[in-house]
Amino acid sequence: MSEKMERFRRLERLLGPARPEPSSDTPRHVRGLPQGEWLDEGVFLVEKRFPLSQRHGADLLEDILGAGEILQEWGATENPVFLDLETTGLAGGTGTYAFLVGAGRVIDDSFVVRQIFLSTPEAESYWLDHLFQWTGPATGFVTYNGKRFDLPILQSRSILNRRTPPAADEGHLDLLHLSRSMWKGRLPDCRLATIEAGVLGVKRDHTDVPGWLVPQYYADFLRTGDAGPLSGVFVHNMTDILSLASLEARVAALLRGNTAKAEDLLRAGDLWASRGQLHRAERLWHLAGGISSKNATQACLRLAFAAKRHRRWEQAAVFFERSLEDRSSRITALVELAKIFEHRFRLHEQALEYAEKALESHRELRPYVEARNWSDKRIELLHRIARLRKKVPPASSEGPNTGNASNEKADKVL
Amino acid sequence: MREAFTRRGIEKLYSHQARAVDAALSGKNVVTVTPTASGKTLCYNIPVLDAILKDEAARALYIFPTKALSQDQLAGLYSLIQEAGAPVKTFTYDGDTPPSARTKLRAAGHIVITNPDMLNTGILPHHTKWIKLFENLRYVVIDELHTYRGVFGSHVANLIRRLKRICAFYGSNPQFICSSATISNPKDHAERLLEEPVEIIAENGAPSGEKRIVLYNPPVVNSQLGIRKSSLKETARIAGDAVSNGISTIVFTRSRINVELLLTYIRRTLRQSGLPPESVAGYRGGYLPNERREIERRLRDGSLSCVVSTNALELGIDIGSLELAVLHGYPGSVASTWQQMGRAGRRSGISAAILVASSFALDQFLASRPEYFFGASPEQARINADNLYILVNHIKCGAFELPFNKGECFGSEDPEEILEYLETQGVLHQAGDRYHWQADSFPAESLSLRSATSENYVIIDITETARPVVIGEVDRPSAPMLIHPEAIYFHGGEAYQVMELDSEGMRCYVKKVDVDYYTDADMAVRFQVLDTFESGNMWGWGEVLLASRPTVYKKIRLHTHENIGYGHIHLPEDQMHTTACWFALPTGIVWEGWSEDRRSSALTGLAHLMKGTAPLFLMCDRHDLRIHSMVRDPFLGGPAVYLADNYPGGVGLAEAAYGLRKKVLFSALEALEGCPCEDGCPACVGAMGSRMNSKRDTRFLLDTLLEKGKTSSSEGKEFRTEQ
Repeated sequence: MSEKMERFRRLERLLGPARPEPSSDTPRHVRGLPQGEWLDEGVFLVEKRFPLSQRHGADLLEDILGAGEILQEWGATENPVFLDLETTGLAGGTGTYAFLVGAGRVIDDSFVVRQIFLSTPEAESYWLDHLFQWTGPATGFVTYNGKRFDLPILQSRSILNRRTPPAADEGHLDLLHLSRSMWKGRLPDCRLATIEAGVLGVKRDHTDVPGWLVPQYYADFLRTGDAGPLSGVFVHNMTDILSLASLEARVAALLRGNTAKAEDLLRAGDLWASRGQLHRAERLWHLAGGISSKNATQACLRLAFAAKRHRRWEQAAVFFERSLEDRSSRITALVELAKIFEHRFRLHEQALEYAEKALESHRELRPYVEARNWSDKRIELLHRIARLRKKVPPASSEGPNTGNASNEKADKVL
Repeated sequence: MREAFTRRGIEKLYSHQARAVDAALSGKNVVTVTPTASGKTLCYNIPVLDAILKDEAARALYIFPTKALSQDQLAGLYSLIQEAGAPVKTFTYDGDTPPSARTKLRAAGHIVITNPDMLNTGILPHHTKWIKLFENLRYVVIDELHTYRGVFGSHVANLIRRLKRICAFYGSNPQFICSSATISNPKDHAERLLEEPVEIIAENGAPSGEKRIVLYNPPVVNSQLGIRKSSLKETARIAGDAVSNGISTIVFTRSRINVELLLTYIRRTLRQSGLPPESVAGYRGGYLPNERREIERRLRDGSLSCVVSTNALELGIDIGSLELAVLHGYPGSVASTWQQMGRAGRRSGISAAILVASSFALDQFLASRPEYFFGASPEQARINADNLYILVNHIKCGAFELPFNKGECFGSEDPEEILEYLETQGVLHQAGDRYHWQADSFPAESLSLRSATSENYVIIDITETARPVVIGEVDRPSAPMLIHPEAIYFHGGEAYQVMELDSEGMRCYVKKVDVDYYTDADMAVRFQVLDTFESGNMWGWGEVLLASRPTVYKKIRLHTHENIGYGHIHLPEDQMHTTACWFALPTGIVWEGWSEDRRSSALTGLAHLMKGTAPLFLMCDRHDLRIHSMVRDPFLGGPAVYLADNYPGGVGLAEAAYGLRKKVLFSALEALEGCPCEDGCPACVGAMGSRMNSKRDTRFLLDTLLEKGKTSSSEGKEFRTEQ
């Protein structure tokens, strides 16, 4: 006893006084949980059904039907589980566990969300049982940052409870990546809450708990047995699941071209292009081009490169021509035109004309670009021009051109 | 594999290798204790490769104390595997491993090479990502076992406890194969570290060339004051002569500033003899990794003929064989001395090692009693894995990795009360009979194994304001002494002046300067006893607050070492809680009759002696201890000498000093008596003591302490306090 007390004292000296909390090994009556049922000792279920005709934010839940098909390229499956974890921390590693999982799926004409709550870490193995019973063996997941956070935690927890871990990547649609492609730079950040407010029209009410407070709320619950303060966490998690569904539907709609914003169409087109689906990309870029002139040139540039990849040279040339108005990509487009006219059409005079225009545009850039990069690009353009001049019949060369020819020599010496 | 060895010219194993391999194959934990370059890597590579070739699923974990050693090993192992044409995948897992490669490496690598720090933060807390490794872990290889002593060793012992818990969870029970430089208690040390029985293989079957060892004490230049020629300049002279004569040389010295001074002096010698000064380089902590790799490479290929190093090059980094090792000052332990001397003549041919004694008491003691060095068995490696400070941190990490079951042991420790305590702190949550990690934090990240802090100041050269260049780094504890504002900081033999020390951003801005002096800061140290654990009449030990602040710096001219000025330093106080053992000096009629100066010089003399000799008995480095003396100590009400652990929380050194107090005092007395000076010299009673001729006074203090101590303990007056 005295030796033990002495060590305890030394601990207090090292790490501060022990808190006079009541010892927690007396079993505690859990109170204050939302309406639901105990599935097992330590595992509590809250289930809610939403008719698909119901609205979440600006959209109807039924919009998710068919979204999976469009999003197949990004890992989506036909009837996935929308999944989100609430955890004891954000640190990751084996010491972080989840105490609440929200898992929603479409059943007949309803969207059913199950929230499975772990009221003591002892019962984790049962908790995992109930989760995987609900999700089934071969379902896909839809998550937000689930590839880096939620699924690795479920895998870790499975291993620690000696179960086969779920696959992290197969049939898993992580909407974070798609959201970044769609909204990065257009919204202040790409957190789910920001997208809800900026895109989905979802308003979180005052009962919602900010995410960083969640671990502390749960730790308090474990000490007191009072789940009342956790009700905000249940609400927060429920909203996350519904928003995941809305977000999937929204991204699918954008990828279908179902939007009036040119920027959406351009980015959606880029997403298809990144998956090698050029015809779909081109369709969206075409649509974007029809909306406003600024976006039209951007769209044309994308279309031009797509045509180039297909070796459809005439079409590429037309699109590059049409993208010239945009200052930011003008030089690129001119150089591409020079290449096409030189190597494909063998119209060297026109090619030279484009190259010289590129050189002129490039000169105008000088105040804006770092000197070294600027010179590198200039040398490259001068080489192109010099080569083309050799191919252009001298008959057509007049006074100014001879002047240029000596310039060319000077450049070579340089 | 046999063929691969034959191709390398290895037909037969040396006897110690054969024994090590046999023992490993028969399932024993093995520790080979042999000098560098005796082929110790084969002792573990053979059983490991054998296991993997027989069973593709088998895995091994190699632990090296530093990243540099890991890189070296990887290269060696890789070429062996290539030659054998074996499908064995091996890789290093440390801070430099690109995150994109990690997932693949975790599943596919047969041999994972890492260091204790990465094991702590990167592998153990993420063990579920390493299932393949932990399920099939057959061997854990720990190289340079002797480096895991003191605080660092105590951490590593706890890492091994954590590792074993995880292995047990996955159903594996790995064997340990270790190697160590010579220490006097290899078996005991290994068994404390691993908490398992081990077989020691200590004979060396490898041939070695003839080596001459010289203990050189610089000649006395002022016999009255007992002042000898500067050991630094003598070292530079010896090394300069050697390099000028085409002898490849390694110079070891004890501090970073000395590396730079020696480098400057040796380069000057070379310039004077018309040799290129670049053929000598410095090597120490604080140089950037690339710079260090380059120096290692140039040493191996012979384009560098001399290197001046701190103990950073003492370990088994492959730098080829050199002909001469010059040690500036006794490195602090017999084992280190042999390691450093071993850098000369690793393979064959005649070689030499010269130990140049400095004016430190211990150096002078050894120089006057060389038999003490040659006859001495190497130090004991000491760890205290159950050091509460260290243990609690690792129990937190352990709980993060796997919940603790009630009644579960942590190594030899029963962690129950610590777990209970942590639960009251809300760090753990007890549910049923298990303790679960409950805090929203990652405990391994806030645990540094090496010292109080892993933070480094980055040194940025802003000579060209538009082009700042990072030239090196300095660890946080050394910063107040080395890089206070206005300090002259030497790097690679170049002088820089510190313009600004940004302690929040951990940056130090310097500018190149052309000066002929260096700076040496003085620390003001404050001791305050917070709690007494045990005490007797004359001594005691307990917890103390140790606060330090640099006050002034001296400008010391290069080459002549004369003091040419000083400046004030304005930096905040650094505070540390640690443990200390104290000696309350007897006062009486004699003491009362002494002047203030006389009292203080007698005390300083005693402190100086203890600083020199106590490490021999406490099995620690000089730098592990802080010694402090006060003429009027407010706590003890009289003169006192404190001997404190130089680590936050303490590492048991003060506790040991308390237990060994007689030995500590006797050895100080012996060092004093063994010193041939008449009235006290820098070697025995230190620079200040020698000015006051305090040899007799210090001796009086020691005699009285020993006399009084004898009577008080025979009367059984010592008591234990429980507070």
